[in-house]
Order: sequence, then structure tokens, then C-alpha cells
Amino acid sequence: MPTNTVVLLKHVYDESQLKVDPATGGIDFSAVPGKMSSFDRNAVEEALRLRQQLGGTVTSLTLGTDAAVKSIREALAMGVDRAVLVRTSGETDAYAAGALLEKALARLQPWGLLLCAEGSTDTYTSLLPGMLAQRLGLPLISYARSLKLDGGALVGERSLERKTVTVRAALPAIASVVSEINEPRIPTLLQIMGAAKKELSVTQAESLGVTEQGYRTESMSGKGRERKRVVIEGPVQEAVSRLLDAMTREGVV
Amino acid sequence: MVFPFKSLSDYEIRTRPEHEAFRNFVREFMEKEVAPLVTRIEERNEFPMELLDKVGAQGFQGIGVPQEYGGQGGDQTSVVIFSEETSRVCPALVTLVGVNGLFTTPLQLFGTEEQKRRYLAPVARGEKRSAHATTEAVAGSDVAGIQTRAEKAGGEWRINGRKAFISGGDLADFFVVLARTAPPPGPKERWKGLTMFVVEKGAKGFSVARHMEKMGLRGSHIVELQLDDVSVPEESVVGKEGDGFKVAMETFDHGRIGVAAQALGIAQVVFEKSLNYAMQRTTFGRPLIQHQMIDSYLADMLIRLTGARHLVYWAASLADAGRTEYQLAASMAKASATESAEWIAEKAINIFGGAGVIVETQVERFLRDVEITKVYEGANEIQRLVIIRQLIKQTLGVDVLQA
Amino acid sequence: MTPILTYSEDGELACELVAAAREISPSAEVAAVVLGDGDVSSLSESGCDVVCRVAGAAPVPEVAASAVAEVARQRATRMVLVGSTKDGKEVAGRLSVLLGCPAATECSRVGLESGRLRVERMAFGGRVSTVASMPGDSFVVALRPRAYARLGGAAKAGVTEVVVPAARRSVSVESVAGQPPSALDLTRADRIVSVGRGLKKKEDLELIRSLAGAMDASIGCSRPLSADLGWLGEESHIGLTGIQVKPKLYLAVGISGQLQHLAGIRDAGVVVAINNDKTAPIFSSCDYGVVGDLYQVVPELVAQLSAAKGREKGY
Repeated sequence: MPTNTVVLLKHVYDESQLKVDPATGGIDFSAVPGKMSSFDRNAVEEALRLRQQLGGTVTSLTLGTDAAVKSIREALAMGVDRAVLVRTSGETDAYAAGALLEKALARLQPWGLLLCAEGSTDTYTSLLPGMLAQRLGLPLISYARSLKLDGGALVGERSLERKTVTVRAALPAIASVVSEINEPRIPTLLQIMGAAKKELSVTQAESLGVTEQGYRTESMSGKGRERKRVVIEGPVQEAVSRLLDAMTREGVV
Repeated sequence: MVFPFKSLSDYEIRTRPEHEAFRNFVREFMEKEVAPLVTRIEERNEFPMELLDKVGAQGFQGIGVPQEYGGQGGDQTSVVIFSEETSRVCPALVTLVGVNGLFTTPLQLFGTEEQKRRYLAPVARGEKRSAHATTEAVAGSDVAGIQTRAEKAGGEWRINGRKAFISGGDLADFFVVLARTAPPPGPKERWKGLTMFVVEKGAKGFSVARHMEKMGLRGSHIVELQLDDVSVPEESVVGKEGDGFKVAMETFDHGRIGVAAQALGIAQVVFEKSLNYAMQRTTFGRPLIQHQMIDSYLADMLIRLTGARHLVYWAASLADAGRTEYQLAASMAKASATESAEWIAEKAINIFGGAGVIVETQVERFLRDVEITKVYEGANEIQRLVIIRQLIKQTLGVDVLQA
Repeated sequence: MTPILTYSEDGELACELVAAAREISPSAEVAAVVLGDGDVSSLSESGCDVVCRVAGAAPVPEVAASAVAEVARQRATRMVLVGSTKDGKEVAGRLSVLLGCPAATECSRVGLESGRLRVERMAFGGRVSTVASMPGDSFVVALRPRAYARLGGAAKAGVTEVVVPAARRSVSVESVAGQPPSALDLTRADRIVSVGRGLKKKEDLELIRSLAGAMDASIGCSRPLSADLGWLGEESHIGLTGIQVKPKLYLAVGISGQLQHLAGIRDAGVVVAINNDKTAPIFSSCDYGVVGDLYQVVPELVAQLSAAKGREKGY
């Protein structure tokens, strides 16, 4: 029997394009372009790869503003069959996001596999996989560096700090993936053009009736630690000697 | 009226979100797959075949080929985006891919259904490669001056001659070859009596005579092709017998904008590198960017770059809208972008100083690469003739060459 | 006052959490939860008031979360600190739902201010530092390793056995491939020599080892070397998705300096870079950078370091 997959997708500010006021550390987000959270592309790729065996469809589910359509279209171009946007008016804290996604996922039934990234490249809380597993009462294979289907079960290698643990869980299940799991495909022009015609349905977040739990971002600063940025060039022997002097002065050798 | 156009809205550049997505994905492909190999390609003057296969599998050889013939069905704006983004990383790859367009375009415009089915799909899907053979050692801009001849003999054509400066000729499976099939009716009608043929690699008497060493675009090769009594069936004629000049010219009209975009990509990357360098490098106790002479260079680079960009994408928009003014715009774009790119690359070396001519810095190669863009697909001198000729034709309805 | 619970599957980190809990409230009871039947002597001397041992529970996230939630229920608290390890972050997400309170991970600082719990954490690949707050009596916070130092000289706490209902295990473990522990845990190293894509082949790691030897440094790497090439283990991967380090000296060899790597070395003391590409971003994020081929610079550095050592020893 074909099994459908849902993959979570987040549209984030491109962290490499942040413009920071060096004096105040303030960030002007209005000037920062958005992109699909990098690791989400691995989740999409894995969903598409597993679709060959599961036989069902792949639906992407996004929580975000209308700006997210850009990333959603990219996922559709990669091969996702259809997309759902739960439209919010702005940032949603992780707790509320979990509650909203739980409700949105219920509307997408039946599905047998939920894939997401280990974390998003903006806030990188990595909370959602655990939250959703707990809310839905489903097994979770988090930090998966490989996934394969074995009968009605999902077998994955979890990539932890000091070990790799191979685990098995019966479907329906959730898995969060690390970026080593695959190399995301780059869609062709034809696929990009075709994505514009695929189904994208929009639900208002307010209609799902979820309230936040009191997590507040108080302040943000892009003021990085200032480094000395002394660049040493020239003949190797001389350059190394200057470097060694500098390190000695700093008292680190 | 905004002479020589009807109104300001004729200068509009039209793009869709899909174009932006395509740009991002082409950039990602080039940065991931090509950029790490550029040094090796430059050193060995050779592209790894696996890379060319990946490029083909990505559909890049068939961007402008209609979907029903295995292509991507893309518009000229997409072709331009591909060329620009590819050129930012590796201008030679634009040429390697672009030569396929010089083969598929005449087939799309003039080919029979049978020819389209046979040749377009495998090239568009990247399974086969192709090239275009018009130019000869004695005839470049003067296309009508070619010496290659084809004679009809018992339901076949026999082609004899030698083609020169054929980009991608060493890798191609399919070629279009222009040959004279009848003497010109008179000195003012030299362009008559030419015919375009498809010739397949391996045809008896058809060979790569020699590789020609050249400046720039390392990894993309140009060769001489020898045709000794090469027999091709009558169905190999592309378009009508005797219409070869038109087939060639319309092909170049289409390809021109790809070259303009190739130059634009060069201008863009060299400007970005120069700006970064000026911000980082310190001389006389100050960053380069605080020296007025350098700022003057950088500002002029950006002025030219932006001007060229407008011309290139504007010409693409006109082409996509099916406007005849496209020809005028494309010629202006090609002359402007290629010459701006050369100027910008040359100034970049001034900004980089000695480092600019060091191969490792990856600036000098762009200056080498840009030179040919001023010449091929219609030399810039020819573009200027076209510009004035099209201008008069468009505004007064008079062909200055005939008058 | 309501007690604060701490839990981490990592023994050292578990002790550091106790120190953080003390910082939130010097007076509240700190109960350190531990799963399984292992040795708890170190934890019991970490400064906590009581060790709550849940015997028989496996330290896997789903079991850990339900055990900690049960202890929280028994002790009527919703204030929990966990370790911001990979497993710890899964536990944090689960606990957030089980206890119905907000959560924050990857926190480097935590404290109570005007009745709200404030945390500091990084966002946007380490480029942005964020201060966030949660209700002072209802939170799950995951703290990064080495964010706090364990307290010294604390009295030994008693151990209470806690019985929790057996948790359902939905994920079964088939096998565990342990990576050999690195000579020294990188998060504690004073000096780190780290290597990236500039290295041409695996055998050349010897060059890096000789440098690390000469500097008495540990070896780390950027993501491509561990994840893509597998030349070093995942435990050596420094960066956003790997480990974050804070050595006195960080020497980046052949590392271009992508944001995700820089996220792992924000707290490093002196950052030195060796790279042949003058335009590499690492040169904008280091204290000292040598532009040059690592295959020339590293041997020269080893030679000069040995010569200097020789002089010190007086021969």
C-alpha cells in the first residue's frame, strides 16, 4: 500500500547576508533575502528518495509568512507533489509551532512518514522533532545520517557526538536528518517552471487556535567578537617567524 | 516616442520568480560542481567528461529547446541567466554548452520534423554533443566567402572543404556544416547559393584535422574540420537548398545574446573580486578602497556593468516578447557587454596590481577569456553595422544596404 | 521554593548543569536526575541537594524525557535544565510538550531577572547573539557543554531512588558503533589545530598531527573532513552542527571559514589561520593569518616551534 510522506520546510533569513550595524550590533532584517533553511533541502531530498519505495506522495508543510512561497516553490521544483502553507503573521515560538504543526498534520492524514531537518539555520533550536514525536506519540529517529525502509519499519543511523547508533522504528514514524544524509538535487529549468503549476494550499494559523507559551526574544545583536585580522604575507620562513612571534606575545604557545 | 522606440515601456525588463529560482540553482550547481575544478581545467586545458555529463543531465544543453523535443522549453531570459551565472565561474563552459545552441537553433527554426526528432532530443538531454561549422580560415565575418562546396550526386550530397575555429568540434557527435551548393548569381548576391547540412561524426571522409591553440577559454577547444568527399543524404539539408546564409544568420542572431551574457558574467565576477580585494587590501596604511583612484575605477566598473546588464536582459525581454527590435537590442548588448567586460577585467588587474597577473588569483584568466567574446557570434565591428542597419530599417523601413 | 531539576546523559555536563541551577537560584533545591545504575559519586558531589536515580531506565531520549517529566510531577516543578547535546535537545523538545512550558536550546548563559528566566543563545549560524526570556517558574533550558564550570568543594548529596512507570520504547537499538574517544575532549582543549578542505589527501593528516604534537594541541576539523570525506570522526567536527569549542588558541589550517564553521569557534581566544587563498573568509575572522600553502607553512612552523623548544631547554 502506498505510504505518503510529509516533509517540514522553513523559509529563513539567509544568515550569510545579514547586514549588521558595526556600532550597535543592530540587524536590519528588511534588507536580508530569504532562503530555504539549508538542512531542509536534505529532508526534501530524503523524502523524494524514499518516495520511490513508499509509492505515495510527498507533501511539504510550512509555517510562515507569504515570503515562504519562494522556498516552497523550490521544494516543488525538486519534486515535492504538493505544498501546504500555514500562514502566520510573523515569528512563531517553537512551542506554538509544534502545536500548530500537530493540527496541520492531522489535516494531512493519512501519512506514514514525517521528515524534517535536525534544525533550522536561523534559530537552530532543534526542538521540533522531539516536540512532534511527543505530541503525536510516534517514534522518532533524530539526527539520522542514513535512512532505509525495511518492510514496514524505518531503520536509521543516528549520528551522535561520540557514537553512531543504528535504530529501528515501525511506521508511522518521524525522522530528523543531518546534512550528511544526502546531496540535495538541483532541479532543472523545466522542473522549476512546472513547480509554478503545482498545488499550494494556504491555511491561516489563527484558524487553528493555538497560543504561545511565553517565550520572548528580548534582544538580538550581530556584534561579533572583533578579531585583530592581521594578515601576514611574504616568504614562508619570514611569515612563520612573524606568526610565532605574535603567538608568543599572545602567550598561547 | 522615445527614439528609436515607441515609448519608454519598450525598455522594460520582464522576469518571473521562476527566473530567480533558476539563477539560484544554476549558481549553486556551478559553485558546487564546477568551481572546485576550475584550476584543474585551466591547468590541463580539459574538462573532465563526468562534469560535462552532469552539465548535460541537468538539461543545460537544451534550455532553449522545446519540451516536445526533449528540451527545457526555456525562454531567452533563461538562456541569458544560464550564461551569466556559468560565466561567473567558468566562461569556457558557456562556450562548451553554447555551441550546442548553434546546432539546435537552426534545426528548431528550419529543420524538418524528422530532423528535429532525430537530433534535438539527444542533444537537449545531454546524451550527445553538437557543434556548428560555418567559419573557415578565409571566411569569418564574410560568411558568403566560404570555400567549402557541396555537389549533388545521385540523390546524395558530396561535401568538400575545410572548416576552421570550430568550438567543441572535438567532442561533437553532430554538426551543422555550411557549404556552397551553387555559384552566386552576381557579385551583389554572394550570399545566395549556400546550403546548411547536418553531418554526423564518423561520416566517411569527415575528420578533425587539427587542434588549434588559442588564447583563453581553456578547456573549450577549437579545431579544424576536414571534409573529403563526405556523403550525406538529401534529408540532411537544413532549411531549403540555397537558403544557408539565412539559416546561419538567424542562428547567430539567436546566439548573440548568449555571448553578451557570457561577457556579463565575466564583468560581474571580476567586479566582485575587485571590490572585495579593495576592501581587504591595505596600502600606504589604508585600505585600497580609501584611495580615490581605486574608487574611480570601481565606480566606472559598476557603471559599465550595470549598463551592460540592462542591455542584455532588455534584449532578452524583447526576444521573449517576440519583438523584431530584438536584433537591434541584441547587437547593442553584445557590443556593450563584451567591451565593458574587457575594460572591467583590465581595470581589475590595475586594482590587484601584481597579484592580478598571478594565475592563482583567478583574475587574469577572465581577461584572457573575454577577448574572443568580442569576435565570435558576429564581431563587434559587424554588430555596429547591424545596429545602424536595423535602426534605419526599424524607424524608416529602409534597408541601407539595398538603398 | 520549587526545586530545579537537572538531567544530562553526559556525566560531566550533568555536573555543570547543577552549577547553572545554583546560578538561577542559590536557595532552591537542585535535584539531579540520573538514569540507570551507573556510578553517581561524581554527580552527588557536584553541589546538588539530591540525586534522583531512576534505576532501570535507559538513557535514550524518549525514556529520559518521560522519566524526568515524572520526577518533575512528583516534585511539583516545571523548572528543568538539560544538556544541549543532540540527545539532550530531543529530550528538551519532548519535555517542553510533557510539561507544557517553553523551551530553549543551545544556551550559553541562564539567569533569573525580574521574575523571568533569561537565556543567551546564538542564532543565524552564530552571527547573532540572542537574549530571550521565559516565565521564571516554567521552562526547559538546554545548556551547552562547558557553558558552566562544575562547582568545587561541595558536600556529598544523598541519593533517592525514584520509581517511574515503565516508558514505552518505540525505537529499538540495533547496534552502536562507538567512535574511539579522541585523545582529549576538544571542548576542554587549550589548543586546537583544526584542518579543512585545504588538505589534499588523508595521508597528509600526518602533517597536521606533527603540528599538533609540536604545539601540544588537539586536532579538530571542519565539516567536509568528517562528514563528507570521513578522514576524521564526527567528534572532531567543529561548527554549528558539530561541537563548539573555546580553546586559548585555535589554529585553522586550510579552512576557508564558512559561517557554519565560525559558529563553532566564536569563543576561542586567539584564532590563527593558514590558507593559500587570500580572499578566504577566515582572514576576516582571525587574529593572525598567514597567506601561504599549508604544505610549506606547516612544516616550517613545526621546524621553528621545535627549534624554539630546543632553545628553551638550553641545547
